[in-house]
Parts: sequence; structure tokens; C-alpha cells
Amino acid sequence: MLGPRNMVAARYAALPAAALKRVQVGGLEAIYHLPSGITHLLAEPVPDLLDALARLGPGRFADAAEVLQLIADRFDIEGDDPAEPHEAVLAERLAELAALGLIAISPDK
Amino acid sequence: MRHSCFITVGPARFRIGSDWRAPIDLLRSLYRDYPLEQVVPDFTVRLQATSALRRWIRPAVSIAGDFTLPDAAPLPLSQALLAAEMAMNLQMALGWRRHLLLHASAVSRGGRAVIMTGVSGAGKSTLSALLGERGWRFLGDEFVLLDPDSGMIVPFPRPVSLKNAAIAAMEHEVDDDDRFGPVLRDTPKGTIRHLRPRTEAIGLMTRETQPALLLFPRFGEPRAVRRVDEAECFVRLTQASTNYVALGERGFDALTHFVRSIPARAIDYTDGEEGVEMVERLWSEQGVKAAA
Amino acid sequence: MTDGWSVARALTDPQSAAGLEPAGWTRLLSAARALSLIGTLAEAMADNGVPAEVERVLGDVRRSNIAGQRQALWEAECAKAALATYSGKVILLKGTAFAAAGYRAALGRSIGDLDILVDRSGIEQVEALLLSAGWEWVKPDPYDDAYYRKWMHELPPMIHASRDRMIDVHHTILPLTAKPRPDAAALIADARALPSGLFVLSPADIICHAAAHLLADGDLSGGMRNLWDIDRLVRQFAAEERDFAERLADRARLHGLTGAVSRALRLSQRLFNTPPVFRRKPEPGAGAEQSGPGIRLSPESTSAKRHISDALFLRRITAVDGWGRKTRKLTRQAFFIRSHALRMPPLMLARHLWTKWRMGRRD
Repeated sequence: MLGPRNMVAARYAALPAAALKRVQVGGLEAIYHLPSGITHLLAEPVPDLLDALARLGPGRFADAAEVLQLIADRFDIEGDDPAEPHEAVLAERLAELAALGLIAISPDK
Repeated sequence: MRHSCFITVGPARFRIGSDWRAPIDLLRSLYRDYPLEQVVPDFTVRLQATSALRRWIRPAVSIAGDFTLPDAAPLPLSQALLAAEMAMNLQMALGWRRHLLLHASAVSRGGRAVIMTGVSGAGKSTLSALLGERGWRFLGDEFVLLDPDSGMIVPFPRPVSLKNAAIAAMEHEVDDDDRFGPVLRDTPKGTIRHLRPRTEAIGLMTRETQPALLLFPRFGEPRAVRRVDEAECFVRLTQASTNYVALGERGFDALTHFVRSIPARAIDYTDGEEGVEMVERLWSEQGVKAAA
Repeated sequence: MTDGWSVARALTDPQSAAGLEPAGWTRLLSAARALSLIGTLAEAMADNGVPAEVERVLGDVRRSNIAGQRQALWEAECAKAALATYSGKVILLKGTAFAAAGYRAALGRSIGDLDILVDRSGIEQVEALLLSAGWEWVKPDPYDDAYYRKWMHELPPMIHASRDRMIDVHHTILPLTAKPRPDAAALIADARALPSGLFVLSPADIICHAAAHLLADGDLSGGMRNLWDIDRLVRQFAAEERDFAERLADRARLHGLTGAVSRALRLSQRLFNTPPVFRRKPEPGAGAEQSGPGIRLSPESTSAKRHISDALFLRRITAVDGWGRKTRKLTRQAFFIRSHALRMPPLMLARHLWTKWRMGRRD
């Protein structure tokens, strides 16, 4: 498991497009993850996180700060705890996505 | 095995073996209108004695076959029809791959099907049986098969498994004792009696039909109708499917397409008549919209 | 020919099934299923004409196996990710290993739970890492199960909470109470790396493992499937590995498994015409056997006794009928038969709704 400092420093990239099948189902996005055969249901704004990484291109790694830049123009980020930096909050979400295998995490530590 | 028969229901072919003759005789009677010729079966089911002694003394039926549950309790021989039904359900639930399997009932009219899904006891089975007597084609009370390639519903019109209060309701509706199987008392699910579908419905069991309306019925609640959104349908249907995971991408495609293309409603109703009326009204409304 | 033998025959010579009547196919399919070999049969028949109603069944089996193998390999990936900070080797075993390594033995094979082997010194760390990554104990109080931990060759079984898949973590390949005592450290030292960073046993050790379990699994359920694995593996290794025969003889001796390995090879040869690994010379006298150039794989019993007990093994292994019934009670079955199969969680609701923070759209 990544500690908080490592989490912010970790870098993530989109999978190749063929690895995910994404379909809008009502207010959620259903994602079929081909490598595992597992179906995930994601609520906004997580699909936007995936889109942001996908726009960078598969295999192009970015850390939480960079991803934040990419989505900042479309989303206001409010944490329940105002003291918590936005990057850290975003980094946790990215780490969760990586743990599910929906995005790649850079092997560099 | 000493005694055996073959039964085809919809697209599924079963071979059923039994250590006793009586269950096979009962099955042949209940399924007399279904294809019974010898085939290479999709599934083999065995109704077997738990031990050599128990073939004769307080005989108990163990369910076995291509797919089994290791700790399933045996049933008394008097409930062999229930054992056979459970065994066949199990093969479908664990082994069928040609279609997405939904735990639901279905009827159709004018080429447009209503699919009703919900937990056991919510009333979908009885509602489908009732509608089947009111001019609708009965497509199944336990499993609805969704063709992943065409999006069509494939019938699985096995005999309806009526439980407890529903038995009297349907005995009243169908005034022909010959259409019923024997009464099975004190089963793990209460009292059970099977109702044979109308011969026309059985005769049409290979004909697919277009899904038009998805319902989540709840029996015994004050009348109510509510829209169900696509996301909720998707989640509830994956939970109602035993082979969604096994079907992989095809299952995903089939189910996402299904929930995006079919309107869905949750309906609460106090009795069978009200349920029938609500289904018919919603189906008509959908037909008008679809035509518009 | 009993139905069990007819399965073996169909696998070895798919053409022989060409003339089967529907009743014969029905029996063959049921027997193959009961032996956990219907997937293998489907692969064997893939290029042969079969009646349409048989193809329906085999097509479904192939689809099931493809999905099953993908899930099994993904599970291995998840275990690897969970054990990223463990510095020792994580070695895949059995069907998952064959699939991950791309061995021909994986074709058509149904794969059950994930089995891994790690060094005994790392067991506690591995256990802790798995528990923190979402696995749970299958039984409620494994810590009371001191006997299990002390004497078994594996941790009590664990299951992943949301993926609902089981993992068995081994530190050697036979129970510590069993008579042969394989050299676990040697197994681990010789394990081969896969591109993913996971490992598999060396070819000779894979055969030793399969042979050990053929006989250790007391009721011999899965026996024919195990022997088919051995047949496929031996054919591939004999062709692709240098000095395979010597290596196999050495490792079998090292692990105390010469009896098991020679028996497994004999049974496999009887069932599937597996080409001999060791060259046999005529026996000079009771109890002695020379095999290969100076390689001695000496069984414990005389030739005659060995033939009788082989025959008994073969009888038990092939004892399945056209209804899929076995004479021995099954204690463990293929992966698609499991008591919690019906409550498979079909999807993962990612917990993005939102306990810690909210995101508002800027419109």
C-alpha cells in the first residue's frame, strides 16, 4: 500500500483503449475491464478522470498534480476537510482506480 | 441409471436419470407436451438414492448431475418433482452460456414481451401464470433468456412452480385439474404445485420475441408505479443474473443494451387482478409510445 | 471399454470419436465432465467434425474456460500486486501456472482457485499483505487452527472479499505429515521467472509436484486430469528442455518422489501413450530396474506387484460411468461447482460516492 507521500508522487496512465469498454447507463458509467472480466460502475467525476488520462494518451504517465490541472477547468474540488490539499484527495482516488486495474501505475517508486 | 427420460424446454435439453421409476413417470406426465425424444443433452441430471439402503427405506432423493451444490440436503421421494425442478434450475444457473440468464418471468403479446424480475415471493411467477391465461403467451416463470447477439428474449416455458397461496389462485383461474401436477406438501419451500403452460405456449417455445417492458413487481403492497432508471436496472439485473460474470463481454454488451433500450417500472399491487391490470396498462402505454 | 477409458481414448485419438452415436456422445460428455476433462475434450475435438448438438455443448465449455482462465490470470496479477513489497519469489502452481507460462497443458483446462508457493520464512509477511489487500479467512477462526498451521503445507484458505476468489498459500508441496519430504528450498531456488515477475516451478519440479498430488489426493478425484497434465507437460518438456530426463530423475530423487514420478509416468503412458522419458532395459532380476544410460529410477516394489497396483490405480482413475457418476465420493470438485457460486458479486461499485469529498461541476 502506498503511504500518503508516495501516493501523491505516484504516476498514473490510461490503459490502451482496447482494455476498457465504457458505456453510459443512466447517471453512471458502466465499465467492462477486459483483462479481468470485471464490470465496474463509476459515478461522476471518475469517468472524467479516466478521460483526462486517456487524452494524454495510453502509457503517458502523470502524477496527481498534473491530473488536477487537466480537470481543474471543468471541476471545482471541495474536500470535506478544507485543510486537505486537493492533490492528496485526488491522489487517493487515482490510487483506488489503479488498485482496481482501471488505470496503470508507474513502476517507479 | 435404471430409469431415465429426456426433456427439452426452450433451447435447453435435459437428460434425467433416476434410481426410482415414479419420478420419471411423473416427469413424463407433467412434460407430456414437450419434446421428449432422445437427444444429446446439454445437461444431465441424476435423482439418486443417498445410499443403497435409502433407495428403499425412507427413500431420499439426492440431486446430482453435471453441476451440483456439495451440501444440498436430500428430499423425500414424494417430492421428487421438486428435486427434479431444482436440479434442472441448477444446471441452467451454473452451466448455461448461450444466453444471458435473468431470474425473471416473461409473457408476450403482439410480439412484444414484458419481463418481470424481483426476489422470490415478489409475485413475478404468479403474475406470469395469470397473464398466460388471459391471452398472453407464457414465456417462462423462473428464467428469462436474453440473446446477446439479437437482443431478443428466448422462451424457457417450463411448468410454473406455484407456491402456497398462489396454488389456490391459479386453481380458481384454470378450471382444469389435468393441467396441474400433484400437490407437494411440506417441502422446504412450503406447498408446491406445478401448472402446465397452455399447449400453444409450449408449441411456440422456439420462437424468440422482442423485449418491450421491464417490470419490478411487488405483490401485497398498495398500488404504486415508479420509473426505474437505467443504472438501477443494470445493478438489479446483474444481481438477478447467475451467469452475467461468466458471459464476460457478451454479457456486458447484452445487458447494457437491454437497459438502455427498454423502459422500466417498479409496480406495487395488492392482488393478482390489480397486477394484471397494471401490466396490461403499462404495456399498452409503451406500445403507443413506441408507435408514436 | 468403460466410459472413463473412452474419455482417455477420445483425448488421445479424437478421430476415434467420429463414429459415435448420440447415445455414445451423451455418455462421453457426461464422463468427461465428471473427470474435469470436458474442456480438454472440447479442445481435442476443435478441428474434428462433431454433430451440431455436440458442438453446442462443447462451444459453451470453450467459452466458459476462456472466461475462467482470464479470471484466474487476473487473480494471479492481483496477488502479485498485493505482494509487491515481499522480496521473495511468488511461485504459481497448477493450472494457473500452466496458463501463465503458456504451456500446452493449459489448453482447455479448467482452473480453480489460485495456488501459490512461497518460502516458509515469508509466510507471515505474505499472510499480512494479503489480509491488508482485501483477502479474508474462509473459516472464522483460523488462529485456533494451530494444528493446521503447524502440520499443513499451506495457510488456511483465504478468499478475496470483493472478487470472491480463493487463494491457497503453500510453503511446500506436500503436507508435512506426508512421507515424502520434498525439498521446498530447492523448489523455490529453481523456480523460473515469468515476464510478469511471478514465477513457476522448473519443468522437472512441475512434474514432481503433479506426481506427488496424484497419489496424495487420497480419493484420486481429478486423477485422470492430473495425468493428462503430466502427459502434456512431459511431451512439451522432453522436446524443449535440455537433459530433461536427467533433470527429472535428479529432482525426483532429491524430493523423495521417484516412486510417485515413475508411477505417474507409467499410468500416463497406459492412458495417453505418453512417450517414455526413461529408456527401459530388460530386468535382470526381481526389484531392479535400469533406465536410461546409467540413470536408476528404482521403485520400491517388485515388477509384478507394481503391475497389480498400477492396474488398481487405473481402475480407480477411470471409474466413471456414462451418467457422470464416480464410485468414490468427491471431496473437491472443479471450480464451477462451489457452494457460494450463486452469490457471485457481479460488479464492483467503486466507492466514489463520496464520504470524504465532493466535486462540483463548474458550469
